[in-house]
Amino acid sequence: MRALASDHGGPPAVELDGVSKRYGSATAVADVSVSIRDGEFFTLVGPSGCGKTTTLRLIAGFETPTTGTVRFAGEDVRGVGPEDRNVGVVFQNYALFEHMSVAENVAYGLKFADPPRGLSRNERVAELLELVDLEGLGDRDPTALSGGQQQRVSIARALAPDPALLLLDEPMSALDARLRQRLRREIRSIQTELGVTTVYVTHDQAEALAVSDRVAVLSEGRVEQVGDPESLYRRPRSRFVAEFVGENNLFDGTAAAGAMSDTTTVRVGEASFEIAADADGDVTFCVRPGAFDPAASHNRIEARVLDSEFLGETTRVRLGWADHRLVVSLPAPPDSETLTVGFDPRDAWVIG
Amino acid sequence: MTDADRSAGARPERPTDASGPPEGERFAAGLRDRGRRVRHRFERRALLLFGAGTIALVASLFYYPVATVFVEAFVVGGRVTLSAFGELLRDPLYFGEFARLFAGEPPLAVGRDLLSADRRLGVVGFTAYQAFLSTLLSVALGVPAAYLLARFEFYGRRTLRSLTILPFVVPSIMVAAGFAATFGANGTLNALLGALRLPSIELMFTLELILIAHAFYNAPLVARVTTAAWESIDAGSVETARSLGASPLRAFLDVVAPRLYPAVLMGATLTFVFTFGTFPIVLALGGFELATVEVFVFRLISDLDYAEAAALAIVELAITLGLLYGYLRYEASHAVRSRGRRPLARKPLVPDAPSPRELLARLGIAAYAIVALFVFVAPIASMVYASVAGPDGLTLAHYRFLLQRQATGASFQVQPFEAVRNSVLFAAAALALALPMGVVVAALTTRRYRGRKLVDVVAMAPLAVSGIVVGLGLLRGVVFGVEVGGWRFAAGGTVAIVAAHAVACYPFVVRTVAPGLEGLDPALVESARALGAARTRALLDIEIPLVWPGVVAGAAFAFAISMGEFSSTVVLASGTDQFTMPVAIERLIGRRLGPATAMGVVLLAVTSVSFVLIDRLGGESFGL
Repeated sequence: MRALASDHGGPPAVELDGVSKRYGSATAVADVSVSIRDGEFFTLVGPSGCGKTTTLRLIAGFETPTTGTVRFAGEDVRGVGPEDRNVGVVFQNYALFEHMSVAENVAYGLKFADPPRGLSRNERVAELLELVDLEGLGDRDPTALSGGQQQRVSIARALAPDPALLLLDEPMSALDARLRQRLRREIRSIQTELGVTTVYVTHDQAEALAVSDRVAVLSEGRVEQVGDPESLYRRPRSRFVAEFVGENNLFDGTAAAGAMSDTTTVRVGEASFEIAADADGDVTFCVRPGAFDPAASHNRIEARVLDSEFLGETTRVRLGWADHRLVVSLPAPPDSETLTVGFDPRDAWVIG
Repeated sequence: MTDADRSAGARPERPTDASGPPEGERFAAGLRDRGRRVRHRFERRALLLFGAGTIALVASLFYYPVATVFVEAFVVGGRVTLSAFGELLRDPLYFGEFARLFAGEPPLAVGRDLLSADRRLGVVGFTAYQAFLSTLLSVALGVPAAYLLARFEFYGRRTLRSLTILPFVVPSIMVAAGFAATFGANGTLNALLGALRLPSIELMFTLELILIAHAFYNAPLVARVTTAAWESIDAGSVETARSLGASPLRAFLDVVAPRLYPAVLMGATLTFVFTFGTFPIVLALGGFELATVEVFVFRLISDLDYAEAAALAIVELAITLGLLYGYLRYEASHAVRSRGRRPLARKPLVPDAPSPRELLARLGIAAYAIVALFVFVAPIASMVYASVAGPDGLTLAHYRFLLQRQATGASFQVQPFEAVRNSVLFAAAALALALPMGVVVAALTTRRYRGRKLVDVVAMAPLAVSGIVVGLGLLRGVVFGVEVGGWRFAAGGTVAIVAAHAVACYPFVVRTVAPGLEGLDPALVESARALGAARTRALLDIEIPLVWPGVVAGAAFAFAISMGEFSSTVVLASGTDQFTMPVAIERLIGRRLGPATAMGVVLLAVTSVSFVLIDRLGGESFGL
């Protein structure tokens, strides 16, 4: 179960207010405004070059916004260096100090701040190594550890001074898929245990949905949508979000009064679909691959089977229908060259 | 609101335990906290402070003194004028037949006279002429060495390759001592010829000897850059050419050679620039008859003709910088940066199955080895031999002489012990100054910010300006003193010499430290900063320990350069007792070869230790 972030009415832990970052004529971040609540696991997700890492670096204090304000607990932090922001940062490539042992790496931040709860430095280091499952490896050379272990050291090091904010910049991109899944569960459980406000940057939307309390989807330096994972997945507000978060099938058409009292009829080319939404004029709606069903009674279309991939639990089938390419998810591979599928009107979501 | 207030505000208050620690502990914690805050506040600004300090130091120890010299060329009788340059350009003493061109004679007539046998080149023309010949000879000796180092495998190859960095640390006055010991009237060459009952030859004070000495100095440089280029060629590209039907020679000409030209050109340009500004070698081996521009500048300064000296130094600087600029433009448009994934395989020097082709290549190498032995090994060996040779066999008399406090019957005021002691002290002091300066400049120039290139150029300029000019500037600006608002600021000759050495040394520290810093992942510093380390603290805790080998190599470089520094020291030391070994060697060459070579051996020992340190710790990362 996810621990919900406390929203006690105080100022947000981190607030970006109309923040832009330009390098010469190139704009990396354009007018971004988001509020990150205290204790929340907040994720910035988007394709490469969308400005998510720059946004994180603006929060950490490695970059200064061209315009706009960054506030920590209501306080403007312009001019405050990263060393005075009380943040912990974890980088993709771990950035461990190779001339120090694992324990010295973890202890480094304790040179500048006393360990919390009156602990001694050694006690704090031992506590954190235990937290990330590396007890007994304190004397090791960081380069002697595996990639996953190095990243755990990096996380322990960032957490040691008890930061008010944990910033993770694509911390798992350098790891293999299986390790990534395990580590992201661990990061989430550590975060829940400590209750530390966390900003997580990833290009992997599945990862973002899996671990976050809330997610901001970025594209070309702008925030497309902020919301909890389920609302992003079920109720995308832009074409970009609909296509970026999970797989989707988009239909552009013209709405008319529905055949049923609670539906709208949308003409798409030669065909028409019944969808359970209020719409008028030109509309775009989307249907998730899993909503298509050969046994559905509504919105049936006959399509050519282009190819299929057997994934175990399901089969991912690509269909050609009119000039559309559709992706549907079926329990078993189709055995014919054409396939008739339909979807429930309530499974269509109108974008915008 | 100050930064400190703000940062305190930015740190969200943490709920403290209701019970809390006892009072005494709280007090201690408070004190600790206070100390930490003070240190933190200092460290946040320290890098900028040190940066400003370094710039102030370079400004007062380099730019200001040099400016006082250069101003002489433009101010005549209190008026700003370019007349000094005009006179210089029209003076056949400096520009030979070219001076007539500047004086307005038709180019055709001048061109015809230039082709005639009794043409006059003038000092500048001669300097360029000898630099050109030196460059040809250095390339001719350097490229075969690159071929040997890049394409053959043999015992000692890596050591030989490392030795190519020596020109940067070997004092040129030591090279001169070695050449005097080899080619002088009583040198080993004539001893050898005498033993073979052949007539002796006199090479001292000839152009040939200067050219060979320049090649000794610069051929390793050509070899070094060319070897690096050769090793960066991917074997796959040659194999592709061969598989497409190219003969081995064709593949070499089409694939390998185009990658070597830029490197050879770089080596040649640097050689030309170095030999154009040559000073100690020509002064010691050529005398005033074969004077180059730099020697003339020195002579003019000795004659107190500062305006002409300054104008000549500016002309020299303009030619040198123009060449370097042109080269850098060429390099920017032709640079091939890709590193070969799989370098060409080296052939064993002793072939398994000799074919006529392979034997021919080895014969060539053998011939080259004999020449190389003559040019590179003989001078050093002769110097070492001459330092222990006496009239009745081997002797340590020359070394004992170095330890004497007062040279007996010395008509030319060389106190050998003082020279040795001064050299070591000045080098230590210069190192103490140059090391922090170099590290700070390296730290300031490896990070990206607006104006970085400018800082880089301003900080590196001491490499380009003649040491004589720096020496003279320091002599007049610092030793003679400056008046500011009725107060007179002056420093002793010792301070000035140390300053001149530090200015000459620190660019080498920058050059060894900067590549290491540049190669560090920026996330390391960012991690440290996010953990609470101020910028300077991150430099001390993270960056410097990680590039420590480069720092030590830079220190070794600085020490060796200071030990061998000649140009500015000779200006600052004349008429004082602040002789260093290089200055003493120059006085002793041709008068008392024994002590000169003994000092040369001491310099060789210091240089060798520096070289081993540089090679083991930072030779590969050095920017050349």
